[in-house]
Amino acid sequence: MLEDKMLLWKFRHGSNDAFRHIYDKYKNDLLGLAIALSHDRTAAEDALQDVFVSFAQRADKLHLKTSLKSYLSTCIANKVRDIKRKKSIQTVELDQAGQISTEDDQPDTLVMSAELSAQVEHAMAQLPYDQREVIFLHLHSGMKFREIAESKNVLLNTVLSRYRYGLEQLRSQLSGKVESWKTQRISKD
Amino acid sequence: MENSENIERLIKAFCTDKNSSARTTEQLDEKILNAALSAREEYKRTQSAQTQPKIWRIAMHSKLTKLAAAAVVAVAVIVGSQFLGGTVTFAQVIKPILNARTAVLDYVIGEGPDALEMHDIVIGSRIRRTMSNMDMTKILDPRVRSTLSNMDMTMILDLEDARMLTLVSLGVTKIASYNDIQGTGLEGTRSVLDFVRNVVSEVKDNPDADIQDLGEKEINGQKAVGFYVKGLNVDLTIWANKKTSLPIRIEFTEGKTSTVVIKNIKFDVPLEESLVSMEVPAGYTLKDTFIHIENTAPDNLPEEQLDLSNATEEDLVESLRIWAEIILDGAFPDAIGTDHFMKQAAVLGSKLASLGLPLSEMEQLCFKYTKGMIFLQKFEFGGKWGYAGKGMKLGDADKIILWYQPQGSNTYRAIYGDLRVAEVAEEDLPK
Repeated sequence: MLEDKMLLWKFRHGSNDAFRHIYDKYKNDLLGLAIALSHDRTAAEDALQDVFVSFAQRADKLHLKTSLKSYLSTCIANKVRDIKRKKSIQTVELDQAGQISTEDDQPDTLVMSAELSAQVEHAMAQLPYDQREVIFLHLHSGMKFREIAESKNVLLNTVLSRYRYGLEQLRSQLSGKVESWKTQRISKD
Repeated sequence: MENSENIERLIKAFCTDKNSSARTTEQLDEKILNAALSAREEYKRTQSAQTQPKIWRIAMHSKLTKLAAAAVVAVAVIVGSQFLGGTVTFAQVIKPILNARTAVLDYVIGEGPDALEMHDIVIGSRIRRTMSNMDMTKILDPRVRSTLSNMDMTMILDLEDARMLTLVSLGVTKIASYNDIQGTGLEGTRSVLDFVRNVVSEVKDNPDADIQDLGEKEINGQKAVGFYVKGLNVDLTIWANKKTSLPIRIEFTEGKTSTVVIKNIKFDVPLEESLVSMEVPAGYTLKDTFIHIENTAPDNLPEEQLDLSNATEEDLVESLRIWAEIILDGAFPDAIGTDHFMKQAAVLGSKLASLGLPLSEMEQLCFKYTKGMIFLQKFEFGGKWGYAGKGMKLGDADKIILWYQPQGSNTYRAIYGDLRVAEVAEEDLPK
């Protein structure tokens, strides 16, 4: 966190290298989050660009209450929501879900089978955006519930409820999938 | 049906899976970096242009433009007159806070008649700061009391370069020293005006921001209108003159710290740049980083012990021990925070003097006490921590008095009444 504060301080004082450093440090995590939330690589790239452009403009006025990573993750979640509203991105259909993975996907390096991944993706896509956002900010970006509540300006209980309802819905949709995933992992090992 | 933990594990694996394949391309990197850095340049140019009156002056050379400008001014006067009789808005009130280049203000940390008062002259990113209302009555040693009472101290802070020039004057002795205020030091010496700016910047464009109209009241003979703002971890109240809409009193409470009241505020007053010069003034002798006033603090501490930048949890524990054992005769303080530490420092000095300890030992204890405060500041400004020592005695082994969450940790470090430290889960912390 201190390193990020120093980088931010240097950027505010004219160091473009500091900005590049911040970008390189978080770009892939943030892109991953944006793809997970939007199911759309193009929209995710747009969100990443918009967030970093806005961050570069507002850096002087930024007063970080959480870590820089949490701040940027929240910005990505907000931006994806905006983009989805504007472009009216439809929630992904099951038959499309498997096609979302990027060009770099290598089947033998994946922990999950493509089929299971598609099923999880489909189940996530059925969740209301608020619930999906909390689940990904917590499980993907490692943000604490309190951090999410503060950054979204909502009550902690609201965040916890969204998370709980989301998980319950996933649990009913993915019934039986975890066991087969575990078995699949064991047989692979 | 799967249980929640299994689902969480599955989603985490899904995220890891997706993350491992989410890689930006070189073209995308270049596109984003170019767009962001160009936007930054454009933003800086816009900001700079807003402060340049040249274009206005050039335009006014044209007769036609002058006439047009006169019409605009006339309209503005009409609109302005109507506005003066109307309602003062939050946007009008925060305008000078956000835009003023210079400001003169006083702020009081904490409450009560013995609250420490700071006086800031702000010019850009530099501040000239003095303090008053330091409570000397508790200092029993007449020599120390006399020295401190006759001492004038001024700090010039350069927040851009994270440096501080301290000027101490004691009779004919005038000493200057430079201090590095990066990292924690910078947090501890921050600009109170910048802090308020950040809070109002965060809320001004947020349509969901919690801004409440507090109505009117009289402050120092002026009719004032108030606004309450709930920021992240901050409660801020701004009172502005009803006629001019200029802020006259700002109050805020951040996290666990005491209330800060900013008063006697003047924005954009003409000020001499020399007031915030980082050059050592004539008549002052430049000394090394730490100031030693003759006959009160001789140079008898090893250099490594004078390093405040490496403050640790142990220093905080030691500081709490000194506070409870020496200052409060076995009890923990009701509240802690930088302002409480500063207030109690004078009490510590008087207690140590009354104990008849050698000067070198007194100095070491004071230093340890300060170092604990430096460690606490790491969490005080934005971190997760709490204090529940009110009413507790040193030795209460089963009660947690202070806790904080180290960076990147899921658990908390808890300091108990017997000053042992342990890892504790959030649900086991005092409510």
